[in-house]
Amino acid sequence: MAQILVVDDSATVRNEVSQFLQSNGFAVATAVDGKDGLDKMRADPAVKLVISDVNMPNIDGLTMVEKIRNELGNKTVNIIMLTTESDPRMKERGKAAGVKGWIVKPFKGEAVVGSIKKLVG
Amino acid sequence: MESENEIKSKILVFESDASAEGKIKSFCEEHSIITLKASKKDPMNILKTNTDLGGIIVSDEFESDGLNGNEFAKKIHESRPELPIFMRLSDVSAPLEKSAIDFDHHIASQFNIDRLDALKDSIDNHLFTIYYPMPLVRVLQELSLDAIHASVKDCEIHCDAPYLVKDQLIYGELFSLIPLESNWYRGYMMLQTTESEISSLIEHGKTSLHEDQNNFRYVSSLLSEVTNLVWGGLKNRFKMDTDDSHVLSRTQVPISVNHSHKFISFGTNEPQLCIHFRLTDKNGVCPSIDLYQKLIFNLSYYPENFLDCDTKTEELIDSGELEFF
Repeated sequence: MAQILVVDDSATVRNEVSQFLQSNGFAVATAVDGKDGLDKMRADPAVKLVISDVNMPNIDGLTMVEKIRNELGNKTVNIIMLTTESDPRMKERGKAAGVKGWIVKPFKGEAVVGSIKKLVG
Repeated sequence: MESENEIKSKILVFESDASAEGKIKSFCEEHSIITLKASKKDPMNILKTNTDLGGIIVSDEFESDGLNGNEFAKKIHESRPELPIFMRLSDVSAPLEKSAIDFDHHIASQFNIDRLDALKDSIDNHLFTIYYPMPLVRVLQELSLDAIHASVKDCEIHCDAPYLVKDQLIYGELFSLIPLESNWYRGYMMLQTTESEISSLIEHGKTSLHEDQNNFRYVSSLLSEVTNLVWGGLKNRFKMDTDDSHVLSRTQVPISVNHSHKFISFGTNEPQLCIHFRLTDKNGVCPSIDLYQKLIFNLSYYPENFLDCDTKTEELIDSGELEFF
């Protein structure tokens, strides 16, 4: 059972983020796009935090978040977007879907590990 | 990390007269042109190994494999028709303008060593035809260096001065392509590089990929992530806003690729902006990597509108920080 689900179509980013989180003691699962992310969320209700890219094939990150909230009825999981996007309209959409925070790539783990610990509890 | 940002172009010179060659080289240096000298022995080889040229200078005195200068220029034109060929006439009294009847279509223009002004005009007309705003170029270099640094470890990264390329050839085995769209340009960014050198980086743990992820698919994914980081950075820095209401009526042109000739066409002959990066392993274990980044604004380009956009670059985005909602 994973505490954190990392969703990104880039293997480089999935590796980098999950290695960093694992080295800080978190149990991590990964998904390769929004569709895979949804499937993993369905399969593992123990996930407390999703860290997701926005621009991904099949289902994009923000659509995945909306589906997690609406279709899966999961209102409690914390979600952070990790993306190259910083468009305020996208952030607003994320906020409306219940995204908790936004990180503009590249990922700098040391800068966010404290916040992640708080979110995961 | 090193970088320069004056826009240049590379020209390959086929010249047999040492005095003329020296004058051409000095002239080119004064006009932001890098000259590459081709030897008489196997001159076509240097053409094959340089896929990022802006043009060619051939002297009518140059002889190779039984071909005179004009015949050799024709051979180059058949091989690389997108490259403008500037012919140096050894006879300084010969007219530079030819009549329509005897005009050689493989020659872009003629000049003699006493009329280098004619060469300058022709280079301006054939090569420096697109204006790329320097703030865009500078930011592109910075973002690209940051993106590469974020994706590889323990490497020195050198960035050459940006230059204009008329070639439409693909360097290496792999390239990535991503659309760039704003209210003043539409086109693509392309990154080109070689597979085995990146594979060596993965093998020696100089990326986030694992050793068991060392195959061509993961090599491509690494290049994709660099591309994604640069693309996102450009969007954030230059606010690449577009009016989505016209998305269905926007023009598109096909991109065609010929794999055997390593040729890619975006449907335009305008010069592409190219930046060359060289990654060198600090430990000297992995071979150096050459990475070519090209911008091709083939669908629309209005650099005069850049100023409005550039004012927004002061609103810098902090990357890596968590912004809580």
